[in-house]
Amino acid sequence: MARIRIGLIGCGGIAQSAHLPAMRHLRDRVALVAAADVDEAAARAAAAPWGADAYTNGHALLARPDIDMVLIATPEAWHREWTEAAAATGRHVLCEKPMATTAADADAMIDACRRAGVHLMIAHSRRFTMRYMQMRRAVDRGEVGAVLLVRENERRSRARRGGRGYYTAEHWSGDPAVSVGAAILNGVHEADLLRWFAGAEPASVCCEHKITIEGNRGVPDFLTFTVRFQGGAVGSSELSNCLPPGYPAFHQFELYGERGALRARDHELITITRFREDAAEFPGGYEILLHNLPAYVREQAAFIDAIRGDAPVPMPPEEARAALRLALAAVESARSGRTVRLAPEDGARDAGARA
Amino acid sequence: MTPIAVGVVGAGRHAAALAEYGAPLAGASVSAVAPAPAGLDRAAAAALARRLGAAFRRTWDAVATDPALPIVLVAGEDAGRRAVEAALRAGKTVVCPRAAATTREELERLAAAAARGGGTLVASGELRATPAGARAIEAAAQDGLGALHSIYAAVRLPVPDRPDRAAPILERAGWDLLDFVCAATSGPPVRVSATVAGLFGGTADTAVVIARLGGDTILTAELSCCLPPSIATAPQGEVEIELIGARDAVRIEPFRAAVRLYGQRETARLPWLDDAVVTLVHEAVRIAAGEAAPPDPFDHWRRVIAVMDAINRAAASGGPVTAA
Repeated sequence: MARIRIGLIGCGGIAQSAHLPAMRHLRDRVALVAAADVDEAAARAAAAPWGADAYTNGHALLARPDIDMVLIATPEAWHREWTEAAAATGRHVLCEKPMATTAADADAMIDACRRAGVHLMIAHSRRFTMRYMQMRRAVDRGEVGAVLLVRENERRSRARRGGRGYYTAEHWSGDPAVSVGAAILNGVHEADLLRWFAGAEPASVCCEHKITIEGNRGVPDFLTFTVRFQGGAVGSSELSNCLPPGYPAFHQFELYGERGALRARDHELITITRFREDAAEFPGGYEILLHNLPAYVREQAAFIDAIRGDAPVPMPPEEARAALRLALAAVESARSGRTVRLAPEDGARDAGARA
Repeated sequence: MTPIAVGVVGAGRHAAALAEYGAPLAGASVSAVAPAPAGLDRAAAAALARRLGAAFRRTWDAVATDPALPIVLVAGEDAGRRAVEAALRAGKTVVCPRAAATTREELERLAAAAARGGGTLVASGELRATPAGARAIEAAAQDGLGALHSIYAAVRLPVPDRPDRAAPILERAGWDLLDFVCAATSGPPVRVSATVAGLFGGTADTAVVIARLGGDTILTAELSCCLPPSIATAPQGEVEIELIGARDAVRIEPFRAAVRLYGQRETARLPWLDDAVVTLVHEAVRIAAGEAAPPDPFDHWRRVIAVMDAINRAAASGGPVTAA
């Protein structure tokens, strides 16, 4: 069977650490034929191992006739532009999360792909991470009964002083002209997981956010929010990006149901700790969550199956749009100092949290 | 040094810990035991006194006002505020291992009693008095973490056998937690939101609080009676707290003991890990002996009550409130 030919737009951090390694893993099923980035060196570095062509303009990449699928890994501010452009040329789109920076942009992406008759999936890698897949199966089997309380912490180490880490002045995520902040960049994962596991749409959200990282130019990098779901379940999430090096950066996801609980807590699973000079690493004992290769491999493989017609798109874009809507409501709550109530939406937009 | 005589009001967990192993460690000896004001633990108090060879007093006031007892531990699980007030008025050093008052009016009565009678109140939640809790507060208060950006706190308790009869989670665990949080931070709360729900059979068994505190510290507190029986906990519940500063971060699980006894419903900490009450009585002994300055806890507890009031108002209104 012919390999799916991929054009990659955006060759920065997430492409290098996640999507390109996943492609290498799936090289019998996919081939990178072109890579584009405004940073020519990044585009060349991505393209070279595949003998692919490098571009500094994504439109030049899209002008090629030999691309089946476009993988968009730019900052989210450009997701709509590149999705619409790719759809207009008849390419299936796998787009990095967060879907967009506004619900209107997300709607436009869905509409563009629907009109073009191409598949669109947003790369919410957590849904393809084994721990969450197993937990979701357990919930679906009714092992804990109805989910009543679902919560997650996310902990990430801050960049070293002068480093080019997330939310620093040197990184695009710290640029208020481009980035909404942690609510969207990290928090959309949490929004998606809370909603996915609660199995219901959010009714209200209350949030506080702030800036904690030195040198941050005005993009909130800390976030805590509480969600009340329709039906009464409660969700809570708190994420911090400023932990010192050596902190056991972890995700702590838990859900409590009417008949039991499910937990995935990194810090309890650490069996080996490697102490480097500047940070600690946790190489053994559990499948790390950040840039988790098996998750990205599963994600790409599932999308390829959908393109081939072997299976439906495992995560419809309406699901990503719903997560974005919740994350944006959290931002609105933090900015306004009010609880934001979310009215039920048209079913066409919300594919349903049980997807 | 001769142990200082302590009178105990109430025969619950704290009293037992002090009586059965803690008193010598604290430099005290339990001389008399009385039931808590509600009198529900009369039999337990009598048994405890017998076991210790201490005097049994039928009523709490006989201990609270006994001139031979410079220190009184008010440790009943039910409301012991009358005993605290009476002991303060009698000039004693009063140890209360929980919120001594839960309303501003009650607190001011205690402050007035202490001022009139010369008594000293040593009131602290258990969390603040644990070694881990004390160290974490010390680190935060002395700017040892850099600017304190956030506090994450979780208190998870088992689903009770009769959840419909259980006290609201904020009453059960909220005071202890806020006592800790207010000790680690300063200034009045700026904005508070709270989601309180009955999810596990109780009327208010779950609370999620987000509070922007003085110093721009953001608190996220999750309290819930959500644990299935298979997750064993200490009597205080499963407690996790993180203080994340600009420079360093602290994570504590203050009730995870090195030695635990696993039972059907909970995990008992065995007594060779100090209970918080021992720390508090030891502090009282040092105060009574003139080795430590008496604390002035009332401003601290005014802040705790203000935050709890804001939480309750936020929960009732469904939206964030600014603390009064």
